[in-house]
Formats: sequence, C-alpha cells, structure tokens
Amino acid sequence: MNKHVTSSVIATALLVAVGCASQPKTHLVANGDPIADAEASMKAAPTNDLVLWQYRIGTMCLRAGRADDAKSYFDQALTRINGIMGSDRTAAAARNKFKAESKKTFIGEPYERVMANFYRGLLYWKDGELDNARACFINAQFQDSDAGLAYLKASGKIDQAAKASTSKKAAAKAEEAQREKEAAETFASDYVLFDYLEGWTKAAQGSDGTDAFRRAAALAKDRVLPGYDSAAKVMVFAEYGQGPTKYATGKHNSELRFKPGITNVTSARLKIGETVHELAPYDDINFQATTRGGRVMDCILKSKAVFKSSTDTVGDVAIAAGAGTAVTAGSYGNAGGYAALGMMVFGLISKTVSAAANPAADVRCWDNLPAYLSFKAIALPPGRHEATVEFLDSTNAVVSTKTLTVDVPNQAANTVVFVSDRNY
Amino acid sequence: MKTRLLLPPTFAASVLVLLVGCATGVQNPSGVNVTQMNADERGSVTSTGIESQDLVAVTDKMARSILAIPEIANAQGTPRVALDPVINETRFPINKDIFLTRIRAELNTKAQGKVRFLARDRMVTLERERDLKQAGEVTSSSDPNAVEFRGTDFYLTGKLQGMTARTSRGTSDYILYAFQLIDARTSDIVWEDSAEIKKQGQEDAAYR
Repeated sequence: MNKHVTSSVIATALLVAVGCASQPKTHLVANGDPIADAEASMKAAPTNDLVLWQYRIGTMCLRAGRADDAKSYFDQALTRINGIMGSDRTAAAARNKFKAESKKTFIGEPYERVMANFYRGLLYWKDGELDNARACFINAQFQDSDAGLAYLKASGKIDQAAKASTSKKAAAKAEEAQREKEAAETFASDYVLFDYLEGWTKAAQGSDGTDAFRRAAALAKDRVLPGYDSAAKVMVFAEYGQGPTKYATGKHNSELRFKPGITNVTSARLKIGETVHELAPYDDINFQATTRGGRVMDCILKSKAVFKSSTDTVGDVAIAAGAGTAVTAGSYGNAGGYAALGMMVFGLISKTVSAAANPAADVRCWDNLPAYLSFKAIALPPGRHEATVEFLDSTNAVVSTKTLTVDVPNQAANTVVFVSDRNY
Repeated sequence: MKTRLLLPPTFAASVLVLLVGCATGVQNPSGVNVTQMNADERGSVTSTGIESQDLVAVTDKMARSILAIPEIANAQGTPRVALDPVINETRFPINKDIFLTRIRAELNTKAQGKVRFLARDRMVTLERERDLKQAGEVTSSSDPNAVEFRGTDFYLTGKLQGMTARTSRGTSDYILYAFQLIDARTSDIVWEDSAEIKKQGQEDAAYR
C-alpha cells in the first residue's frame, strides 16, 4: 500500500513540476523609456493580450509625438478587431466553464474600441486622408452602437409579445419592453464628437456635413456646437483626465464593473498670443464606460458562477452525507461503508470540478485612456505659432500647463494638433 | 486491499485534473502554413468590410462596362482619361486609390489602345524631366519647349457609400460602389455604373 501511495505522490509531483512548465516567466527591467519598457512588456505578454498592448503603446507614441509608430500600433490593433466576426477559438475558450474570460483575444469593451478608432482617425486627418479619418469616426460611433444586454433582452421581449396573443396584457408587456429598449438605446452611439467630426471631414472636402452636424447637435443636448468654419484649418484635438479602469466583483469575481478614473482636470484652454480658445469636453469616456449596460458575456459568466457554486454545494452535501453515513456505517456492515466512501469521493470530485470552474470576468484594461475628449477648429495664418495649453480643474484653476509650437504650412491643407495632459 | 483499488483511479483523476489545469490555451502552436489564394477568392479570414474579392468583382464589372460605351468604343481618335480620387464615405478606412488603379490596369490590358490614361500622379517627375530638357541638361527627341502634356477628355472617378445595421442577430454592412466617367469639357456624366455588396456576420458571444 505504501509503495502505491508513494509512487502516486511522486508521479503527481512530477506532473506538476514538468507538465506546467510551458509558460516561461520573463523578468522585465525598466530602462527609463516608458515606450521601450511597454514594448518589452508586450513581447513578454501572452498573444491574447497583443491588441491591449498595441492600444497602450499606440497611445503613448501619439502623446510622445511619434505619429508613425502610433499609426503602426493602431493599424495592427484595428485590423485585428475589425476582423473579429465569426468563430474564434480563444472566444470559445473564454466561454468554457473551466477557463477565464481573459483567455479570449483582447479587443476591449466598446469604449476601448471607440478610442482606437478615434486616435487612428485623427492620425489619418494629420496625414490629409480625410476619407479615412471620417471612416474611423463613423466606425468609432458604430462601435458604441451595441446597446448592450438590456437592449437585447427588451428586443427579445418585444419579439415574444409579437408572437403572443393580442390580449391587452400582451400589448402592455410589449409597450413596457419597447420603453426598456428605448432606454437602453439612449446610451448607444451617443458620442457627440464623432458625428461632429464626420461632418467636419465632409465640410473640409467641400461636401455637405449638415446631416452629421444635426446628429451631433442633438446628442450635445443643451450645448451649442460651433459650425463648420471653412477658414478654420487648424484642428486641435485635446484629451485630459484619467479614464476608466475595470474590476471584477461578485462571489466568484464574475461581474465586470468599471471604475471611473480619479481626475481633477475637467477642462482646458488653448492660448495663442492674446487669443484664448476654450477646449471644453465633448465626450466623457468614464461616462461612456459606465453606461453601456450589461454584456451577453455577463450571462455566460453568470451561468459559469452558478455552476461553480452549485458543484461546490453538491460537493459539501455529498461529503457531509458520506461522513454521516460513515459514522452510522457500522450498523449496515460493508455496504454502508462503500456507500459512505462513494458519497465522499463523489463530493470530492464535485468540489474539484467546482474549484476548476473559472467564471472570472476579464479585467484586462486599456489603462492609459483619458477621461475627456475635446476638439477645436481655429483659423491661424501660415507660419509658426507658440501656444500654451492650460489644463483646468472644476474651479478653473490651472492644474498643469503644456507649451507647443503650431506650424501652419499653408492655408490650403488642414493642420492637426494633438495635445494631452500626459507625456506618454 | 481496498486502498490498492482506490489508488489507480485517484492517480488517473489527478492526471486528468492536471491535464485540464495545465492547458496553455495556445492555438496552432506550430503555426499555420501560408496559403496562396486568388484575389477573388473568399478566404477564411473575413470581415463585413471591403475585401480583395470585392475589389476584383467591382473593378472587373466597371472595366467591362466602360469599354462598351459609345464614347470609348466609337471614339474618333483615342480619348484621354485622368483619374480623380474616389471618395470613401463608408466606415472602413481603405487605400481608395486601389479601385481606380485596378480599373485603369484592366482597361490598359483589355482595351487594346481604345483609351489612354494620363499619368497625372507623376506630374512632378515629368515636369522635372521637361525642365531638364528645356535647360539642355539632357537630350530631347522633340522640341522641349512645345507643350506636349495632354489635357484630359474624361475624368474617371467614384464614390463608396455604406449603410450599417446592427441588431441582436449581428452586423450587416451594405456598400455601394459607384463610378463615373465625366466629360472634362462639358461636365456631362457620360457613363456611370455601380455595384452593391452586402455582408453580414456576428462576433462570438464572448465579444458581445
């Protein structure tokens, strides 16, 4: 007996030691250049996190003025996220009860996909490719068009009501579902800036941007948006504040939540000579992240969590019942003993299955996003202009300042300026 | 005796658990061989956006259509055509010049000289060459001061427009590819044709 126990233990230990040694750990050393450090981290990261790193590093390059590198990173990320249709093995793994959601290829939540399109769009504009800039802004708004789980549930209820009898009760249910659907839609495609920029790119090409402007104006509600001034050729994109992060909550960390970034910068202003241009926020990424509503994946994670809990409970009950039976087994002879052992083994297996189940939500997060996006088109004569951007808190006190040089080569083409309250 | 019977299953269960636990999730660890495909073939990597098979189908249709119009088929002399960039109003960033490049290449291959395209995208190089000839720095086979750059008879251009719908059943993208041949003298649209492509798909539930 001792021989068998010893050999089993040794073999198991060997399996643990050898079998699981397929993921080499890389020790990263910071070299002082944040972009180089992030690139090193990307190389060491799992393949499924590649897009996440491309997002992060693309943003860092954009802020550091390395536009070509930023374009390359965003292009790679967008190629991946735009080709996500259909079956995907990593996504199937993420739905598996025994694998975490983070097994899937990271493409990000809608607000993250939106931002990748936004950044690429402004880089296209910088290169004078207005068509492609517009395509990115339209695509950004589209990425936010998924109204989430509440919308899907309400749509399902409406479909059911349509199939049901024409009773007053069914009609009332359909009406209620319609209201739910409309409420869910309130937060879909509700970025002001992207419709506004779509119109700008059209106007800049001599087309009619009125329709897009009207949509943006409707989304802006009480705020009055400036019209498209054909003399304004300098496009200033500004971002500031700290964007959202993700965390998991619930008994098994199966519920994904978004935590707004803590920031005291809430607006900015651009000073060129004596002229001051307000850079008020058009969109709030924290608001966008927290108003999406549930995901379809949340249902899958909930089902995984239920499975984990129930197998655990079944295990507890079976072990307890087996132990109870073992106590009284003496009265029933060998049969009672086998039954008790069987129940306990079953309980252990159930507990093992429960322990292996993994309903953890994916909290990988594009963590260097801003909180606010702003835009201003201004008219400047050709030449070099020294400018200052002041980032302000809610009392209009200056939190930080950046200086920049705006080179306007001529009046024919647009000049794109990007400014962030961060250096990376 | 009872312990002996229990140990092999225990060990087997341990192995099973470890195998499940140690799965790395790496797909195609040895990679996937490169597959050569025809440009008009629908590959396994697809999206609802603009793909090579769409480009081939659309530009083939346009090239055939242009050749059949009387302004080209029955033209006195050889009409000259210049390209004016396509306007992309879809939600897909693309290299929009690729459409006109392929139409031009198809026409140059199949039109047998019925139509000539002007290399307006090479004007900087051409003007530099002319200047060198005019300055006598390089030889010239004709009078370098004569204006020989041709004006265009027609402009070939187009517009890509799209409509996107997203429902609980997936995403649908419709794209209208419209091309025109415009008389440079009168602004008449002497030819127009279009192609429509609609695609739909849905991402895995893990991404919704």
